Amino acid sequence: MVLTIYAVLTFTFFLIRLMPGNIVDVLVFQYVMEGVPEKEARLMVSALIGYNMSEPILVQYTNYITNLLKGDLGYSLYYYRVPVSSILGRAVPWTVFVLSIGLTISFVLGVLLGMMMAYRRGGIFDGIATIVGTVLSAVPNYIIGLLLLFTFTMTFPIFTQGLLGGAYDLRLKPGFNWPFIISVLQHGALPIITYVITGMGSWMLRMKANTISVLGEDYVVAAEARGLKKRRIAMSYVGRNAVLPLFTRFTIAIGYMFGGSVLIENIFTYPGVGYYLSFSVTSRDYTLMQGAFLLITCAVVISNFIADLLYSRLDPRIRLE
Amino acid sequence: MSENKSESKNHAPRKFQTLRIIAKSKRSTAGFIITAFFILMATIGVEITPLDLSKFNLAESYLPPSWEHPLGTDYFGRDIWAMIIHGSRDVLLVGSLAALITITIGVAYGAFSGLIGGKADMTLMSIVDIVLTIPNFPLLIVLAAVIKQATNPLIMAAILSVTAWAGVARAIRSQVLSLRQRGFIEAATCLGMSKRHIVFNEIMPNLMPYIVVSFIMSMIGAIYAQVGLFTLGLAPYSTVNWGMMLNMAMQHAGFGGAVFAVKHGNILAPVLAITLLDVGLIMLSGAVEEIFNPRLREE
Amino acid sequence: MTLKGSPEDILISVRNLTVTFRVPRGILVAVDRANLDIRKGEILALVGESGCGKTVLAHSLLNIVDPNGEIKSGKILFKNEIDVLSLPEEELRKFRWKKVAIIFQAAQNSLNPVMRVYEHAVDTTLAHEKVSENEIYKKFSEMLKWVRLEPERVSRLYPHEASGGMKQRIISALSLLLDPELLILDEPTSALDVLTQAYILKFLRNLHEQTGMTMLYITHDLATVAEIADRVAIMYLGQIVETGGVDQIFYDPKHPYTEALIKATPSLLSDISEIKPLPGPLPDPFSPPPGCKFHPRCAFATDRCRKIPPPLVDIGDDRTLACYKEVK
Repeated sequence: MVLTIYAVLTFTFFLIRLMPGNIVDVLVFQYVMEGVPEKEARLMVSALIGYNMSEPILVQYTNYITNLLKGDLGYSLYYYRVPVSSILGRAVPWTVFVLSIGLTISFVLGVLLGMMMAYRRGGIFDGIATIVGTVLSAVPNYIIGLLLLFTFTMTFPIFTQGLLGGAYDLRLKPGFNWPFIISVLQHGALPIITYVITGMGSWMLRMKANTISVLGEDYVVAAEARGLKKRRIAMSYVGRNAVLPLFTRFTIAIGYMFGGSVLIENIFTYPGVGYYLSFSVTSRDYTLMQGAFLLITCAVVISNFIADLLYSRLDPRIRLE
Repeated sequence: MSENKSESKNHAPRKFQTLRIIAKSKRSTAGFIITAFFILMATIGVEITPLDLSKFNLAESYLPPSWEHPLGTDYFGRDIWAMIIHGSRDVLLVGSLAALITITIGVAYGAFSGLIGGKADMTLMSIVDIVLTIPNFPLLIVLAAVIKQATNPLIMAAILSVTAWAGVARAIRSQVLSLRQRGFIEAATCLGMSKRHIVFNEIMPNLMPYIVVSFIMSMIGAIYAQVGLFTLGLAPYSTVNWGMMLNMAMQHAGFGGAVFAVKHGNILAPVLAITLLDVGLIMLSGAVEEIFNPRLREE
Repeated sequence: MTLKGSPEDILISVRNLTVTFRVPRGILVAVDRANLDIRKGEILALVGESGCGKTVLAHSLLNIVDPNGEIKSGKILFKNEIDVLSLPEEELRKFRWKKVAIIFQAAQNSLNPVMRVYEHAVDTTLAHEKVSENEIYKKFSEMLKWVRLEPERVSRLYPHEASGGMKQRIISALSLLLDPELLILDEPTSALDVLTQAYILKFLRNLHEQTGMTMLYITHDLATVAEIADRVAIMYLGQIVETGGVDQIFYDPKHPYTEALIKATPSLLSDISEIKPLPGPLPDPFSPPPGCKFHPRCAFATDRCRKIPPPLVDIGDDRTLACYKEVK
């Protein structure tokens, strides 16, 4: 994992530098236009970005890494002189909040529905649910987001707060008070629902397939023959075995969700890391872009790692390794 | 389970058998029809439908669906149905180009890695692992915004493939590995067949189903990504791309105002188009799997 | 259809059991109007070729049917009191394992991969009675020792950590956990080497001697039958065609099929030229022959055999037979 993160850091470093149009020159030019002497302008810009562009690459790279280790991500170009780390630091909790809730609910719901579909195979419920699941897994997440946005803010004005964007009503004071919490939930509801609807489809279908194949296994019939209760069999014999293979997908889903956050947070103007990433791209805020990209990628790597750990604890067959 | 030599030849059935297999499954037929529909739309439809993008007639803004405008008009008075048709060309073109690039790189990389084996294989795969961890979309928007020439569909397609090839490489490599296990590659080598023969006459035919399915899946991914980029307004070179239609609908949404049904034509049309195409492609890939894998066919 | 044996003696009586399966090709009749008695305290061997329906019959005793299958008709009485096939769900659940337990054929996969061995025992016991985990563990340890496994080592294992032989023994221990009145063993020796076979047979004989447990021993291997069974029932294409004591069947087989089976088994004493395989192919299970199902391969077939199926009747001496040869 550390190796991956390191590779990502290096990759990002070169990515930014490979961008056409020398950023530094552009910025320096801007300063010069404001009347700042060039030399000073260069210094200011390098302070902003976090490293001096005129020094040899290796030195720049070392500075870059050292700064990162100190938690210094440079200064935002758009938000004048505001450190990137503080912008993103405030954004991260919101993304994590929305993503984790969304992911969990979509997984749990999907798995439960999938199991029900398998148990009631061939019935009406199964038929409808399969169609719903297939469509949901095909539709891109931003489409669902847009549909939800328009339906619930314009046609049925339930979540009108969404129009104003933000994670909560900015007039309220953050803290563990009721109005604040409600506001947070109201603003976060649509993004969360989007994640849930988007993810549910594939969980449903996969769980259904897994459950069906587990239901055919010998140990299920053996459990029935031993007179175990249906519920017990469904939970501990069928359910557990059917769900386990899904966990590898779960890991992939995390990465996918983080990627999707860029789109969805943009649509709902929700101030998470994804939002700032897309924002930084449109406003050419390269330091912010670099920081956000880095953060998202690291988040993915770390969550994959945690998910892998979790999986090895849950499946006794893996534990041996 | 007898893994005899006959299984090494692909199961591609004879011509009419293919059609029969497709016709038997409702899903597959639907997939084929939908995909064919969109291809027709992108090729012939574009030619026969006139569209004036420079139109700026606010008097005809947001008209409800009518005989002249089957899906209504947008903010600028342009016919939505025509825009959908024209948009399909861009979407399909970029999508298939991207898929083509993706599988070319992916298959070559994966097959090579699988055949070479050993340390080189391990190294190549670790690179793939790292690439796979990088979240696709964030990278895309960074690249798309930064590379000025993204106005060219080909460049766009190339950008879209930047991380996609890794998944394909991985899948192809594991296929190659399992093919190697089957022994007929060894047999061919023993018989003295040239390397080129082995690659093109033994391996490729067996990889075909996976390549085709990978192509379709890559296309789906590319469509998702490009429409996403357009929706965010990050690649605004084509006004007719469905994603762009979404973007404009978003921008001109306003706070209340225009008539309900009309407004939603703006959103619903591209949404339905994208969804339909996606679903169609997925069903198509299911059909391909059924054609090549007799075990999946419904009795 | 009266078969001999006083009512108190009979543990299970099967009357007119018919089980069908729906497969892509059509409807398959796996068990066709079968009649069988299992007497208390005996080891009854159920013998027949692969595919004759022995396993399906055995599963029906617990009312376990494959999802594609259906018990079309028939009655299964346990101790003349319990009508197994019409037990409501909860009663059936309690009936299973406590009254009748089964060791499935190829039982390797009968254990839940994500549960430890002792958890299986806990689950099973708690489904039937309220007992403390300690007591369950104690009893299960006893059972494990019975099958010559070390409780401390084995209980905590996950199924994939145990060898095939160990799993077989664990499953045997599990089957005895609730002291069932009838133990069904479906081909317990089929996939095993001769030494393990011998061990299993010895174990079963021990068990029978010590507990007097009734057993239904299903197999296609006649040799093992001779070693262990008290009575034998012969099954052909879903029907019971002959029953009798083990000596009677081996030394004086009445049904032509039984005769053929006995003759087909090589023995140390006879010449290999004496082995005669059965003439004719096995009939298509989807369209069985009319009348007596064996008639196409029977040297003694008459017109009556071809038209009217012979009923299973008591021919005295505690034997039953379904054939016109002996019974007029």
